[in-house]
Amino acid sequence: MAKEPIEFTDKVVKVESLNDLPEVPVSQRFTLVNKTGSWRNVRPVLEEQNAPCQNACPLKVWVQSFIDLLTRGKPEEGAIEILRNNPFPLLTRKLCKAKCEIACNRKKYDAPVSIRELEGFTGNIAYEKGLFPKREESLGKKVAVVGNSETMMSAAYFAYMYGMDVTLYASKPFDGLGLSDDEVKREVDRLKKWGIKVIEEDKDPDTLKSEFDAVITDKKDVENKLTFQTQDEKIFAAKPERKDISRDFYFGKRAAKSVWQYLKGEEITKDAPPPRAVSFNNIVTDYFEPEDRIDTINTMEEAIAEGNRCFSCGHCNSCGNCYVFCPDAAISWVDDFPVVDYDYCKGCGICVNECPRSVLILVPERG
Amino acid sequence: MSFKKVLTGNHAVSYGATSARVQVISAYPITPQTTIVELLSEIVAEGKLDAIFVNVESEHSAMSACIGASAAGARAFTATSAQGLALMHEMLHWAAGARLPIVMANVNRAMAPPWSIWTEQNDSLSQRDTGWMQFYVESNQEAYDYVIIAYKVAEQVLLPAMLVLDAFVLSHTSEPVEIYDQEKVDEFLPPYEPKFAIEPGKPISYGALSKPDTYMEFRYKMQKAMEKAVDVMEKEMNLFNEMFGRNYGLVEPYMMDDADYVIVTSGAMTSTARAAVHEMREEGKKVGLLKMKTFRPFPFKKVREMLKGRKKVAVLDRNISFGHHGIFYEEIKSAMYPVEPKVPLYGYILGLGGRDVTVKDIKEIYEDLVKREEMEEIIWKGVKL
Amino acid sequence: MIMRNWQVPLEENLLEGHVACQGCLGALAMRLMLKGLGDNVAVAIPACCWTIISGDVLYHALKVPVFHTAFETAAIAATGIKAGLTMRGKKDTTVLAWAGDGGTFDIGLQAISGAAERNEDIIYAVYDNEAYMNTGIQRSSATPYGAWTTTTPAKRPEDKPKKDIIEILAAHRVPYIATVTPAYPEDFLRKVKKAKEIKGFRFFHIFSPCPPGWKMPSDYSVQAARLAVQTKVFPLLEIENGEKYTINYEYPKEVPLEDYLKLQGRFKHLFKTPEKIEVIKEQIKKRWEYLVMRHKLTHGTTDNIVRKVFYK
Repeated sequence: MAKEPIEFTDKVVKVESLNDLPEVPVSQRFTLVNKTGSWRNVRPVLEEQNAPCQNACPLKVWVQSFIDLLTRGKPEEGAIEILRNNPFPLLTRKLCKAKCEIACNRKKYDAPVSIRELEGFTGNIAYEKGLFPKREESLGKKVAVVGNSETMMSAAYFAYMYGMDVTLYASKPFDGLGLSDDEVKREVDRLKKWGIKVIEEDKDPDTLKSEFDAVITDKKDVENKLTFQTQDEKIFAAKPERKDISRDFYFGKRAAKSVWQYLKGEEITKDAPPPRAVSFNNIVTDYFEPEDRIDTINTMEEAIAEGNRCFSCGHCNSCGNCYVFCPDAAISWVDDFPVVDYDYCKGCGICVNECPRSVLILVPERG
Repeated sequence: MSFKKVLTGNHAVSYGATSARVQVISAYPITPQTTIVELLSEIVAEGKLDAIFVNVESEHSAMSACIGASAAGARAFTATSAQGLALMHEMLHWAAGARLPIVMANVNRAMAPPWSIWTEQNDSLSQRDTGWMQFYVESNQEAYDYVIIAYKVAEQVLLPAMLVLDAFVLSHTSEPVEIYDQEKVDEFLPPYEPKFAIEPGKPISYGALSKPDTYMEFRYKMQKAMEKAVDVMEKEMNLFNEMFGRNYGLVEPYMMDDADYVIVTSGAMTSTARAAVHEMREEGKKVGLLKMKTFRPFPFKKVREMLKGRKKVAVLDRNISFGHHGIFYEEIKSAMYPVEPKVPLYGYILGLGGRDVTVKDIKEIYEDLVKREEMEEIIWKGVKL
Repeated sequence: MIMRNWQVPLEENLLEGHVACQGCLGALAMRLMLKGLGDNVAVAIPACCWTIISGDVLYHALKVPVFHTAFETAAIAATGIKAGLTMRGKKDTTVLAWAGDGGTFDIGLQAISGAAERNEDIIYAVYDNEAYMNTGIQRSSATPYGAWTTTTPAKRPEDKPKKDIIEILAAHRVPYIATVTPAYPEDFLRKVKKAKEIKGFRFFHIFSPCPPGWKMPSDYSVQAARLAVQTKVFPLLEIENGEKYTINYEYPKEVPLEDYLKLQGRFKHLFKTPEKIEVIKEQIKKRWEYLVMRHKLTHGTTDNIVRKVFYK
């Protein structure tokens, strides 16, 4: 028997006379006519939240996202995600204090996720494949970065990412970190390969003011410790503290950001404190199996296994709970993500309560 | 080729269901119905009828299984009696409300307590308002024929039908019955083509909650279907007569042409009344007999036509609506209300719980009828006062 | 397609716009059941919440046909539909009887017993919300000990344990019995798919929390169902041919019964009579020990019971 195509619509059956009704009490149309969304007084909204690892990281690496991409089978995209905030993941793998892991919610469950290792392993893919993050639109502005410190290496990297033409003057890049010549060469070659001009000599930053639109240096004292401005509006200064390499990279990143704001003619603003992170109490631990932490990661299998331990706090990693548990079939699964149909969602809140990672939140309906 | 076979009334019903090629049979034993389904189970087991036989755990379930099967588009059959029919009551409404053309045989049996297994019509007449068609048969041949006719009508008007036969007097009494050639029956009653079946690929809900804005219309349609059933019955019985040579009507008059007095009966008692009327006619009495065959839909027009202008009418009821009258009497009286001049009608209660109704009883009723002047609400015949 | 936690078909046979209350797991149970069964299905629904959920007489909430039937007749109406479809050559259609606990534990039990004993080729599923919810939360024989309902007021709450419907069905030696709850959707679907391939009478006991009836916020219903499994209030199991018992899952940690009870207003009064909570704990313990004994008898070990935190 050939199936007649059935149109599942929200059309109403108009009953004006007897003829509009069937002889037998059988349905004519479908409940799609009932827009049960009108029952709702709260609405579930998919809204990215910060994770404690992310907040703890000086560089604000979007850990949940890169781990999600890695474990979703998109390691290259994961690597690029890291590079948006962390210029030298192989150096952080070796030297970072990993405050992310201290803050990791999973610590309260079994053991923190090996974020530093995962970040290094994933970042390494970018090294091997010569990947870099997307650059901001070019401002047509030239910036000189002067100095050997890791902070200046980071400043050069981010200034370039923010769309400036960057010339790095450094006679001994990464001086004082105890890196091997190979390591230094590896990182400097990356900068060059990306498009940063590297001139291996020391310069007096003041002499570059006429040639460049702005200068970042570690050779001068800073005026504003939050924006890294100096008394000279064209010169920005940042020095490493040598307490935590990520923090020293952050100084360079922040100086580059100030330059960017300056060159765009915007007000130079300090970084706002990050939004509150998802806490352990927000995690529905019933959806996680206790697993041994993998301390060092050498293979993709290990990386995925360890990555799968991540609670993905505040970041939708397509677990599917909201979709599966919706009693009203009001959540559909489109391109691997949930889409709420507010015409029918009754606002029961199950999706929010069952979201293991607090990405879905309930917001009151107006009126 | 058709053939004649000596059959009890119950077995005539079994043969009727077989000839009608019922597809699902579901039944529960109760005296005096049981031999209907016993024989059917044998016929199915022998492969002479392609049907599923479900041995359920109650009459309520027997009817429910028929309802499910009929909703799925199959021709469904069951048989019951008395307490069993009463237990089915809820589902009788369901079958009718769902507009399912189920056919059932009910063997009239008195309701308990006290226990009785003998004939009386209170069981089937208690189901008057369920939306089922009801046909009261007089002979085993009628029992056989009416299974076939019932399906033919039911499947056109989408209402269930009950044929009713008397306990023992018909159910367990043998008579020769003509069983028709199957091809001819198939021609008269082709396979059921359901319009609204529950089947995969058709996402419908069947019988869900109807609010006050639609419920009344569904009931209106049921009443219209009942009204239509009168015409369909007449049409189909004409065809039946053409094909099988048996002329049935909604009612059956006997020696009515010039009758001043009419005795109205239903069921097997009619045969006794017929003999009595025949004898009385020979004695020169102008008496006729009207057999009520179709109780639902009620044949208003025919009844009025038949009883108009008679001197007096006696309605014989093997049933009683306590606190009121015999049920046929009550119905005929209400049907005759608009007929002028008024025909005096008298209701007689007799034969309850299978008490014998004899030719003598009928003759006495006639004598009583002729002399009666005063209206009396209820007249008992044969009760030991 | 990526969905990390679940392998479930995206096919939906439940339409939006059905009128179940917010957070109704009876609705979710139907959604999952039809994800498992597909659309070659016919359903019989007796009087129960689903009489209302599926909508007004002129509208329908499922992509499969439904016959609404009387309260006590789900099992037999499904039997009839199966017989009718079989006679019409539609032998491969799965016929599902879908009833509430009142229609199953109480008024429908006779027809279930009949259909089970005859081993009718249908799936009977009860979505058990532990009271007559559709009529306004009256006590049924599925109402658990200690629960408030509108006919077992808090001053004199339910004083009988829940009827053990599974054992009644097991005594009928039906080919397949499963307990499931939508909180464990893959366990649910796996059992539905398994049942679909079995011929004969198959019984699903579906634990279906009801937010209004349990006096509980609507977002808690999946959590309540999960806690019911974790606390062994509702063990997930399968019984084959009435003999082979398999406990599918045991939560690896001890979860206090109170965690389950305190989610629900219907047990609020119990916290004033802790001895009654102990009675429930004792019932749970005895039932679990019995099931473990049966599992051992079947499997010779209990090592094959899944003991993970996240059971699917």
